[in-house]
Amino acid sequence: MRPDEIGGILRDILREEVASAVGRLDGLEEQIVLELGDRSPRLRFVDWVRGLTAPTRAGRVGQLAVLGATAALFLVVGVLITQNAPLAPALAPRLAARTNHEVLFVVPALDAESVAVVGDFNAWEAAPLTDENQDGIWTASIPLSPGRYEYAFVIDGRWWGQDPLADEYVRTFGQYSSVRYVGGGGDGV
Amino acid sequence: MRRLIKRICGIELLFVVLLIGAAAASAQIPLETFNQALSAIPLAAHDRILAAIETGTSQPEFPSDHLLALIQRLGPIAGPAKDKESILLMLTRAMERGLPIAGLLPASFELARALEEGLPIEGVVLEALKGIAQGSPISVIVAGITLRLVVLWDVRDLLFDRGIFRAAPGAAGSVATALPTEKFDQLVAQIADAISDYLEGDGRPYAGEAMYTLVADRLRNLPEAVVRPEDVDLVLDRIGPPDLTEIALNALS
Repeated sequence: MRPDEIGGILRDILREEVASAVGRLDGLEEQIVLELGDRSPRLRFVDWVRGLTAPTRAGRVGQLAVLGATAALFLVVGVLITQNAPLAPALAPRLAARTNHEVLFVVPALDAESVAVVGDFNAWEAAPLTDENQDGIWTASIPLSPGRYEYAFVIDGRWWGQDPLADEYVRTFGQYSSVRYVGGGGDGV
Repeated sequence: MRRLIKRICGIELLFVVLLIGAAAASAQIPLETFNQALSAIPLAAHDRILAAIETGTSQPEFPSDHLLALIQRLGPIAGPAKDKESILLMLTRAMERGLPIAGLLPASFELARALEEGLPIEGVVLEALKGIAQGSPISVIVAGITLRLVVLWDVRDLLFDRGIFRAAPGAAGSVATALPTEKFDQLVAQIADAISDYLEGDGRPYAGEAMYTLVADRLRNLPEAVVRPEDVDLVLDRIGPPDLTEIALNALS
């Protein structure tokens, strides 16, 4: 078959294809224009807001009225949520807990079997200190709210009330106790 | 003469019978009665307190009737439940250590009376708990409670005298010298505690200046969350060393 014969056959085939597809192309232009005009929901919301704030016949006063009404609506919804939702009371203790200070109690006691801290923060009942790496330095971290706290260490059952890290000392019942001011001007924390 | 001796013997016999009867009656107070009395107070350590009482009642000369009377007295008091519980915990701690609580009970009634009058007794009870933890004798602990209560009463009266009051609920801020209850109580408790610490540490009652400095340092070191600086200034402006000397002398007399 000669090349010019092949070209003729191909042209005929293409012509038939185009003729059969013409029907499907009807209205394509309008469809593309419509889709281009159908913008995303976010843009539609922006357009809606713009529409609200656009100059109206009532002018600037109208815009301000629309904005004010929207703000009032948000305010009312906010107040209702704060009053009724269980979230607020649930948050309160956590916020209060944030005001606590982790107070570190440290005492060197090389050969001690047991070390505890007693103080008015735990009604003078022993809270144990630990020496995890066995280096003779015993520690405990206790969360305390702001205030003045008296305490002492009990090392193998013996009272030891003069902590070098204390802000001051008191002596009652013939024995010393240490004092730390937490959350104030002292070095308690 | 013989008739007189007979009469004396008769009276003594009657007295002994009454004593035995009272002892028998006190020994017969069932644990459930204590349990019911304790139930009138919201207690976090109800079981611990009851367990200590159970141990105590099994011992001779345990003052069951006085203890029950104290619990029944504490129940209707309008003060904070934690303060009522702290008094009972003080007795519990003493019982757990095998200390005789008979000596502590009159001081406990005094604490109840102070609580009823709206005094901030927490610091006094904590100091007693410290004494128990240190192994101090009951008589020393009782002396400490008595001294601290006297100072607490006097400090509150001093502030009242100087026109510094506890504001009625909801009225705080309407008068500069009417402080919120919590702030007022903190000031009273801290001033009283500083004076008591000074006296128990063998400080001289006539050294008003030293006590005033101690009180001022204590109040100024406290964080603002506890006492407000303006309230501290107000109090320190209205009290002076002679006032503190007077309180110290009264407490030691």
